[in-house]
Amino acid sequence: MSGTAAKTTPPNTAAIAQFLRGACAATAVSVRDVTLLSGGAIQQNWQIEVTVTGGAQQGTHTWVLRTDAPATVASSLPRAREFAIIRFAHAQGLQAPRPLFLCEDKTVIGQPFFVMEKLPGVAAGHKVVRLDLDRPALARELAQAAARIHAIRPPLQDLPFLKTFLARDVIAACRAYLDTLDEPHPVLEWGLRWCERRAPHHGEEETTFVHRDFRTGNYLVHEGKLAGLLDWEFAALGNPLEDIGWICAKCWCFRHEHHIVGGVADLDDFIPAYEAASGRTVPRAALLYWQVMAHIRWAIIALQQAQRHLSGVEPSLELALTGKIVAELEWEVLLLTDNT
Amino acid sequence: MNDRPTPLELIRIANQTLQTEVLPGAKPEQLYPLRMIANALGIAARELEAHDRDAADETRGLNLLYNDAKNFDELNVRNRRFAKDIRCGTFEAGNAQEAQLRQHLVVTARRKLAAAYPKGLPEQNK
Repeated sequence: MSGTAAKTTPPNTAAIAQFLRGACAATAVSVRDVTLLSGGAIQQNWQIEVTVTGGAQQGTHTWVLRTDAPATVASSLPRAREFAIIRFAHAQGLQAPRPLFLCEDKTVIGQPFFVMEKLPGVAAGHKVVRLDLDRPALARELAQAAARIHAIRPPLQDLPFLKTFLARDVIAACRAYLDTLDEPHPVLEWGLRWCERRAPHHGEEETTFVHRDFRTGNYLVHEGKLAGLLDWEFAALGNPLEDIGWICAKCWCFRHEHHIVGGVADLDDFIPAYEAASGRTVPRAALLYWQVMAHIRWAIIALQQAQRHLSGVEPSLELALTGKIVAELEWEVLLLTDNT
Repeated sequence: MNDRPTPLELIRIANQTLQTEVLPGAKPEQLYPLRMIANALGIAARELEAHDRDAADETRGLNLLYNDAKNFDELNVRNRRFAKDIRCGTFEAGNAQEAQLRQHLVVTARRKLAAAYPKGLPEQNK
């Protein structure tokens, strides 16, 4: 997802401070230097400098406040659920930021939000792909991070609300969204039909915890190393190879598709490392399948992003232009499926 | 009937003015929104310029697929039916029909890409 809405209003610092004073059981809290962070195509991430007087959090901190944009997309989880997922992921050692406080009261800043620690590093995709990196080493770290996520299997008692998205579920969800639109999308329909004809049957797919937005732009790189995994709003149960296809999709290479793994590494650096770390094999046909699905799913999300603008709730040139990315994604679906 | 310049001519000169007179002197924080505006104007101009030709070509392609030259429905209506038929597997009776379907989709997708992101076209189509 290519960045944030063009126009955003910073949340009210006094209201945040008042909330945090109660949440921290502090005698006083001040909030300053509110800065919109990159990433978060659907949610907004604000860096805040917080000074806490009294209580267990006494001191000065750099935290991140994550809140909904004015309009959101259906597949994105509400903040309370994302907070629960981040808490779970952090506890499981999945390199998620440490979650701190959840505020579901819309009267505080107008939207539910949560506060989490700020991890160091660069996340913005167009910057990450240009870093001077030991690319095979980063690929190994990403592979190991994915393998750790995919080692978690249902049932997850801490996250009873998680939905399951195996291949046919993803196809059904994409079709259900297309059915809500006025304009038809024959190429996406064709791509979904291609996926349906090749989809594994229920019972043939492995089901694990999946991030579902595991890609460049949603992880932090600090001093050349993987420093954190962000944006857990799409997390679910599903086929682990969906995450692998997602990060290996050209659309997430930020114009650096000569490194097809998120614009930062090559398949030969990533896939064997993932296979070694996860103990599962990644057949080329399965990788291609999930790469095709990745482009279709991103196209669906791009259409949803455009609808946020078209609905009139969140007028934004950036969201409007996101709708025009669909042409590239459709073209890539056709290229990937050539001779298949 | 409106006087010239046409909508397309106006968009083109607006974009040219933006690129030659506004962008070079813009502040760094203005560059991103200005480039988005230039991109939007570029897409709009290319879509307007190609609209009639592309719609006629797309209609001809659908006529071939459906073996039907007498369908006067709007293109949007026809594409709705087309999308539904694809979902149902209507064009999967044999390799030749599937190839014809795919060829139509490739041609229409290439046209869309030419307007939305011409840099993404294969070299021979640029």
